[in-house]
Order: sequence, then structure tokens, then C-alpha cells
Amino acid sequence: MRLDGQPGEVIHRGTPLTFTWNGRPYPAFAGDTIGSALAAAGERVFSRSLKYHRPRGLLTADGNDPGCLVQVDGEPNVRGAHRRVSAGMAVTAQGVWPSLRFDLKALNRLAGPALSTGFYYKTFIRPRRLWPYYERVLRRFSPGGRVPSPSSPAGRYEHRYAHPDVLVAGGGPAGMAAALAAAEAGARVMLVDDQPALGGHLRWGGPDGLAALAQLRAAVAAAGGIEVLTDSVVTGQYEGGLVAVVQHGLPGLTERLVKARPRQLVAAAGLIERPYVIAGNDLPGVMLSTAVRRLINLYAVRPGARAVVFTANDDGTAAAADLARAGVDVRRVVDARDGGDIVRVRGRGGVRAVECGDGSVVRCDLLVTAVGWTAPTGLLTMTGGRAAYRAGAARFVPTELPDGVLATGGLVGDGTLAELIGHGRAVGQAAARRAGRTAPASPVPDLVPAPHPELFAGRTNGFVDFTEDVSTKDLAAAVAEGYDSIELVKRYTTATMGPTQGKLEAVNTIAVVAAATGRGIPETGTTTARPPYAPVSLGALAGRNYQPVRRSPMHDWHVAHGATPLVAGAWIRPDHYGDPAGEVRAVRQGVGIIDVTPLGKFELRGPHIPDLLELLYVNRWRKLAVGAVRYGVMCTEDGVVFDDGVTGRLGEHRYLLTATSSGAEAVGEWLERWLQTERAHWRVHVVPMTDAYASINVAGPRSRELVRRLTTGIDLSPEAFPYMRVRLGEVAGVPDCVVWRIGFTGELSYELHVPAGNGLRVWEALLATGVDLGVRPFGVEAQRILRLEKGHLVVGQDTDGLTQAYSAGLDWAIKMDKDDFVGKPELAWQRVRDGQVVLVGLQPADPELVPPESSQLVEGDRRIVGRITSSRFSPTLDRSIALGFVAPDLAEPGTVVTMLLPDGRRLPARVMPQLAHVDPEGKRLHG
Amino acid sequence: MAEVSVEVSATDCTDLAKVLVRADPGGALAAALDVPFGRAVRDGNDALVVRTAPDAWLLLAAADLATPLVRRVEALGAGEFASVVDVTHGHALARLTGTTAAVVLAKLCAIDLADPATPDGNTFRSLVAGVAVTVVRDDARPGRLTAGSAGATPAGGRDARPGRLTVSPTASLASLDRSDALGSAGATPAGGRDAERERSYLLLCDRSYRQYLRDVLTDAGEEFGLAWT
Repeated sequence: MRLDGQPGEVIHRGTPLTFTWNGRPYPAFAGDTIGSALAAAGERVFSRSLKYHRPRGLLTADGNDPGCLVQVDGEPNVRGAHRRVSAGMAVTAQGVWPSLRFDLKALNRLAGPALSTGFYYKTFIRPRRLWPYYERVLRRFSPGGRVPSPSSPAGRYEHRYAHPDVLVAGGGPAGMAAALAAAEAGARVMLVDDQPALGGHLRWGGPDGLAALAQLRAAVAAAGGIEVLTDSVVTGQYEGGLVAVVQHGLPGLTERLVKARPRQLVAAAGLIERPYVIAGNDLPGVMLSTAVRRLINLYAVRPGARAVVFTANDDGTAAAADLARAGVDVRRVVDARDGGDIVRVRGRGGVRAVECGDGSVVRCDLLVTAVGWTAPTGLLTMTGGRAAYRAGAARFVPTELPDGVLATGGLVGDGTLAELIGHGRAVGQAAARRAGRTAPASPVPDLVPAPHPELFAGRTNGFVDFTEDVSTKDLAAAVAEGYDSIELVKRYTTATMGPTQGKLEAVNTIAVVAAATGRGIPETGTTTARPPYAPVSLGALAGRNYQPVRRSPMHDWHVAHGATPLVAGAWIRPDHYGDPAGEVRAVRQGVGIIDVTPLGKFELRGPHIPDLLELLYVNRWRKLAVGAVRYGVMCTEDGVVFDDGVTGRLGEHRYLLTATSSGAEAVGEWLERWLQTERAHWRVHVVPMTDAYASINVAGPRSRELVRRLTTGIDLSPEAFPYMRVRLGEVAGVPDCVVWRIGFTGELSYELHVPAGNGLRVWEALLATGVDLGVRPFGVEAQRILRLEKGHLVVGQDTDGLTQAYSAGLDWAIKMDKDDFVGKPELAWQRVRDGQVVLVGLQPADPELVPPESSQLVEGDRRIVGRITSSRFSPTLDRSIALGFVAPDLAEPGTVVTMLLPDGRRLPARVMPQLAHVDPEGKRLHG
Repeated sequence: MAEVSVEVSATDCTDLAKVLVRADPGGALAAALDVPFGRAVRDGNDALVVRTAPDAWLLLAAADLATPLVRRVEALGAGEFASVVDVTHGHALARLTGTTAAVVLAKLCAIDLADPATPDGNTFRSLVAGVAVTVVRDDARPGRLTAGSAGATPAGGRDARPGRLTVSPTASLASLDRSDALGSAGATPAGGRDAERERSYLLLCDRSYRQYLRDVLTDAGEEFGLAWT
């Protein structure tokens, strides 16, 4: 079946290779598609159809071919008439059992009536209890290939952004001419074509076309400013003018999604040839004229031995000439323009004969049809353009284009090669001008669709949608059942909903429905085109897995020392180093250090800082002295607790504000929002410093000893540096450190904010210097236990999006006598309102039981009276402890409440006198 | 014509001094800095001044110059409300240089990187692989990087043949400790070969994303053989 060298062939005969098809080796040449290589080897059946499992072969011999979807090296649903063969490639038919040749699922044909139009709305409905069994059986008949196993290589998928002045979708002669003209005007052009090389129909045309193609390609290659993306497809236009291009065939890359934002889009998608709808039109051996011309001229494949050609245009005639040149016995050319017709294709596994309209029967193995063209207007209508049916040309044509979009080539109309190129050039110049470049203002010449007979469906029932197995009869039945809208017919029959998405079948569907309803094609209208224009893999949509990760300067140390990682937002933190309870004991008994770098930190500068703090915190700030620290709580306007943290005054007009790790970003925005939009006259600058400092909390009764060994210039005595104070100095030889005396763990502790580049140095110095003190690192889990023992709430853990400050037990902090602060009106209301839940300390009666967080507190069977917000086993108390919200009538110390656990158990817990379970007097903290 | 590197390379410049300035856009300090919003200009002394917001500037200089830089800028703004803060430790900084630098960056950043939109000296803040990054187009100039110019001996014993224009980012890294790490304002490239500038971007993000930024640049640059120098 392989022909001698063809002038335009794209196969490389010097590079033979072997691949397998259903396990058997096959020869091919580099440049072959899977379909062309198999066709060259004499294969005619490549797949089975969706419902009836009818054998299917090549129809279009390009990426739109509905008969050549295959599985390649585990990748399902590969367009085999488009994908290039590579050495060792393993190709299999998909969805067949036990084999492509003997597919038992073809027995579906016997169940034809049960699989009629809309069968899935009518069958397998009752009895409902059997649905799980129906589902199990139906799943075996689902179309498509097998999803690769999770262990299969995933391939590499990427995204890329592009901003061309002009994006030309379609690399035929008009598209190339448009790109050239735009580039000549200085525009940056992206030229996209779905074939492996530019040229469109010129690639499989005659010598004149090939000569012109060579010139155009050379001009494109020589032109500056044209980026050519072959083997790529524009899949749609989205909001904001985003044009998606999926790029294939790049070395080392499975697919790339290019997110382009062109200033002008030029649609030059050419034309798509339509099949003819008659009985037997899906048999292997029925091909479009463009298919046989591709096979012969691009791949040097003789598509059959004896052919009948049914044509309504010159392209069919040219195909007949190509066939004859390729040694095919062209038994008859039936010309519709002369009144000729064909009625039926005979055969079982392939074409055996064609019944002609005059009653004659011609034996053959190949039927070539050339009955008309579809202008792929989908991309234009996605952009807001419109298309209308032109009966004289038997196709839809663009009628309105939105700003930013132009069209050229066959999509617009027909003409000689010179006319197509001339139109493309004028459109390219117009696009360049619209993109702000200087180009000649040549008028765009008319490109009028050529007259063409309206040939859609013949006299017999045939397949309209090959991928969905929808026939003329199915469409007629849908109309008969009352589905007379084309949109409803589409959804009811699934016509145009398969992988080809209407490219081949939409106009035939419309024509058949129009005939069935008695309306014309214009009145019937079209379905709505939506992206994607061509199938897009999930991998292309996903791209690379870029998930931002934040690491502290001590991250590698934590990893090297066996820390279990904890994902906290984007931060990776050490959850523990193997023994969180031991870490807690080390802090309570000696000294521990924890990496708290994610703590939000903001340096504030300016004379109005006290005003800002007074406004955004519920408590007071005006009298905060230099060197002093205060805890503060922020609320939103609705009085809900938003964030908390300590702020220290480092100088006259210099403060360091801290926020929770999880709330740091929001607090930064909150500060800026108030300064920029509400108090723009205040002189305060906010400088984010979260990442500028590595933060280390040194906690435990021996923390002072440890810190003293490393600090210079700071008097650490309790008198000189009491609780809630801050100092600047040198730690481990590192200048410009901020040393806080604060305590989230309930122990004597110091928090060191060290210039981040020196964080690891100070961390290691603390560990090395404190060996004799028993210093050890502790992680987030130990910190959570320690703070729970101390009864410190965590915003977001012990509060939620509804927790107002009084409910969180923050009465002591709220200063309602301040003139104003954010949330004050709402808190004033909450203060006098009854029934607010209260945060309390809880201890389960069973000291071994740690109630899962979010366990409900209940009263009787129906009333929910609160919930557990935090719970842990306390190594210090050797019992379980918790915090939780309870109804106010149950908040009295000593009250026994009932916990409803997720497993249904109801167990008692006692309300404690205060939130702190350990050292409620704060002696350790102030030690 | 001098040899120009065609491969893309990246350099971690995190150690460069970084000073944040906040001041009234209509004040004396703004006038003294004299850099329009969205532009980056060498200040004629030892710093690249990047105006990141109408009222904010980021100054980049050699690693040991943060303190004198702070003092110098504070003096410029004496008498007006301004904040000059050493944020050296708060940010990671990488330089991406080479003929395909923009193509690599275009895999990570949605901004138009072509000359008309982002010419040399342009700066913007956008997401790069999901992280907020200040991007500065700061093309490498042959004159600045040619061996024989002040302090141009690259660190690590790398090739530094006279006239060689390669490894501009590495040269930047190598010169982190030099006062001319970022070149001089208005410095005329050696031989006036302005056209031979090699495309280069400075990428500045929160320091905690330093490794992540390195990872994504490495991944995006793989097809172009991106190497860290």
C-alpha cells in the first residue's frame, strides 16, 4: 500500500522504525501518523464505535478523524490519525473485548431498539434498587480508553504566558500571509497551526500549491517577529481576551498550555470537509476526499484498490486524479453537479460496493466523498461573533466579528491561491494597525464563498455523528418526540457532543433536523460553540505542580534532625522531633527552643502609631513606654476576633507588631487598608518583617541562663528585664536582634528575633551552649500542648468566624471607655446581650480520655450547648485537658457538662475555674 | 563582536543589601531619589533604586553597604516623615540572565515581558509561580562585566577572559561584595556596545520562598539548560 516518493510527502524514508499495534510489530517511517502507518500496512479497522461497536476506519485522516481514537503507551483517547509514530510505541485499540477484530460488544447491535434515541433517559431507571447493578454492567460499556494507573509516568505538562500583538489561528496560505503582513508592520505575531507543519491544504495539493507553500514557509522563517507553533491548537477564547493554545510535540514535554493575550486575534481555520449521510457511510473504506489526498500526498499511502468517487466540487475531482495517479482503479466518478447521487454503501467489515442513484452497483473497496465544507466558526462565535447560513454555498459563514477579532481564508470565503493570500495580507495589515502598528491601510478584498450544492443526507439512514453513533433515524425520532430545538436535539441524542465536538457533524445534524421539522437551516440555527475547540488533557489544564512553600532559615536543620513536617498554610514547620510529650517536659523542667519564624511581624514607624493601635486593637496603647510590650486583640467591625499578638515599643516612633502565623498576611492588609483608605492623614509606615527575622522562642525555667550566655548588651535580670518587655541587642554575636520577654508556653521565656540570615547560627549556638542545661528543640505539637496547659487561646482554633471578643473571654482586654476602636459598636451590643457562649477550661472526668476537637457539648438529646475547641493530653498534669465553648448557664466553675463524641459516646467533663490548667497564678511565667 | 552567552543562567543574590524607603511621593526624598514609579535606576553611586510603589523604593546594593546606605538615604530625607529600613534579611533575590531568560520567566509569570511593555529598567510586582515577586528588568551590560573592570574577578575561579560577556549573573553574584555590584548609574558599556546587553531580570520575594523560587526557576529553565552559578 506504500507508494513511491510523492512530491509533498512528509515521511522520512531514511528513518524506518517499528511500533506495535495490538501487540504485533508494524513498520513505519518517521513522519507517519499511527493511522497512515497502519493504512500503509493494509489495516483498515482502527476502532469500534461507541454504542454499536461497529468497525471504524479512517474517515478524515487528520486530527478530527472519529475512527482512529487509540491508546498509546497507556495514554487513552489519542487521535491516531494525528499522532506521529515513534519507535517502540505501543498502540492498542480501546474499548473492545476480547479484540478489535472479534468484539463481542458488537452484540449491542442486536439490542439496537433498546439503545435508540435517548435510551439512557428511558432504560435502566426502574426498579431503582437495581441501579447499582446496572451501573456496574454499564461501566463495562463506557467508551474511551483506560485511564493510566497512578504509577504510570505522568508526563510533563507546562503552562506558558504569551502576549503577541497578533495571534493567527491557522497556518494555511491565508493565515501565513496574514502573519507575514502583520510582522512586516512590526507586530509580534504568534502563528498557530494544528498540523506538524504550516501550509494547510497546500500541503497535499498539486505542484503549484507546493511551490507556493515553499515560498510562504521561507518567508515566514525569514520574517522577524513570527513565533510559529505547529502541532498546536487554539482551543478557545476566554474572558479578557485570553486565548488558550495547546501545544504538542515539543521535545521532553507532553503538552504545553499557552495562555496568550493577543491584541488581535485572526481566525484562519480554513474549512473542514463534511461526510455524506447515507446507509453504510461509516464502513471502513469510506473516506473524505481530503483524507485520501492526505494519505497519498503526505504519507504515500494508497488508500484502496478500487474506488468510487462521489463529488460535488473540484476537490473531489482532484482526489479522483490523485487516486488514479496512485494506481487506484477509479471505477466511477459520480458528480452531484450533474445530478449524480449515491444511495448506500454495502459491506460488513468494510466497503464492498456502492449503490448509485441510477440503480447501478459498483464493486469497490473505497468510497471517496466530496460533498461540501464546514467553516469552523466556533472560535469566532466564542468571541462574540456571529455566523449565518448561506444556502448557495451550503455552509455557514461569519457575518459579525467583535472588536479584536478578524477572519481570513476559507473560513470567510473561497478564491484562488492569490486571492486567499491577498485577503490574508490585507487582514494581517488591519490586525497590525489595530494592534497599534503602522501598516498600509489596504482595503480587505472580498472573499466570497463559492457556489456549492446542498448535500447533507441522502435517501437512506446513515450515521450523522460517528463518535456518538447517532443516525438520521435517531435525529428524526428525537424530533418526533418533540425535541424540535437544535439545542434540545443535541442534548437528547448527544449528536455533536463527542470528541469531534461537531466539526464534522454539526451542519449535517442541523440539516437533518431542519428536514425533519420542515424548517430551513437558517431557522433551525446552530448549537452554541464553547471552549474547548479540541480535546484538552487534564494534564495540560493542570500544568506544573507549583505549590508555593515557605521555609524558615532553620528548615534544613529540622529536616536533618528528624522533625516531622507540619504544613501550616504555605509554611513547612517542625511538628515534633519524635516525642512531643518529652519536648513538653523538657520545657517545663529545663529549657527548650522552638522555631516560630512564621509569626507575623511588622515594623511600624511614625508619630501616629498609638492612634493606629488604639483604633485597631480593643485594648489601650497610648501609655506603652519604650521597651514595654503589650498583648492586643484585633476585632473586625462586627466584633469578631480577627487576630491577636504582642506589640513592643522599640523607640519613640518605632514599634514591632506581631500577628499570628496564619493571620500575618491578613493583618498586613488590614493595617494598610485602614492607613490608606480611612486614616490617610496619619503618618505611619508599615514594613512587613515576618521574613526578615528568624524567630526563636526559648522557654523553660532555665531559659534565662541559656539566653544570658549568648546575649551582649542586655541585662537579663528580672528587675532590669521583667515580663512583657523588649530589648535590642546582640545574640550569639549577631547584632540587631530583638529580644522579647513574653510567654506563650506559660514558662519563663524569651523570644529572639534574629536577622534571618543568621537564624541558623543562633539556633545552633543555643543548642550548643545549652547542652548542660538540657536544652532541646520542641515543635508545634509541644507548643500547642504547652499553651493549652496555660489556657492561651489560639485565634482560628479556639475562635471561629462568629466568635466575638466577649465570648472568647477577652472581657479584661476590651476597653469600652476608649473613644473608638474597630468593632466597638458591635461589642457594646454583645456586652449587654444574653445567651452568648463562653470559652472555658474543661477537664474530662476520665483523665485518659482526650475528646476529639469539635466534639459537641450537649444537654439531653436535642440541645447543643457548646463544643470542644482544643484538647490534648497534658504530660504535666498526666491527664486530658481542653478548652471549649459552653452556654453561659453552664459556664460556672464545677459545672459538669456532657461531651458527645463522634463515636456516639456521651461522657462528662468539668468546667474549670479558669482557662489555665497549669500555673493559673502565672508564677512560672514571671519567674 | 564579543562572545555572548546563549544559555540562561541564574544566580542567588540574596546576600545583596536591601533597603526599603517609604516617603511622601511629593517630598524632598522622592525628588532626590528621582525614579519614576515602575522604574529602576542606578543612583550614580552604589545602588539600584527600584520604585516599587508611588511612596516606596527598594534600594539594592552590595552586601556590606546596607548601613551606610540607610544613613545616606536618611540624610536625604532629613526633615520630612520618611522611613528607611534595612530589609536585607527579609527578601530572597535571584538574577535570571540569558537570551532565553524571558522565555523561562514567561512560564511562571503572566506579565508581558517584551521590550515595549517591560523594557530594561522596568519593574513590576506580580505573581511568579504563585508567589508575589518584584521583578526588575536589569539587563547585563558587557562593560560592567568584562574582566578588567573594577573588581570583576569572578568568585570561585571562574573563567573571566577579557571581553567575555558570559555569565553576567554569576558576575553579579561574584561582585556582591564589591561596591559596583550593580554597576554605576549611566555607566556606558565598554565600547559603547549598548546593543549587546544581555537580558536579565532580578526577582525579589519574601525570603521564606527562597528555595521555592530556586526550585521553580530550575524547573522552568530545564529545557534551556538553566544552570545556577
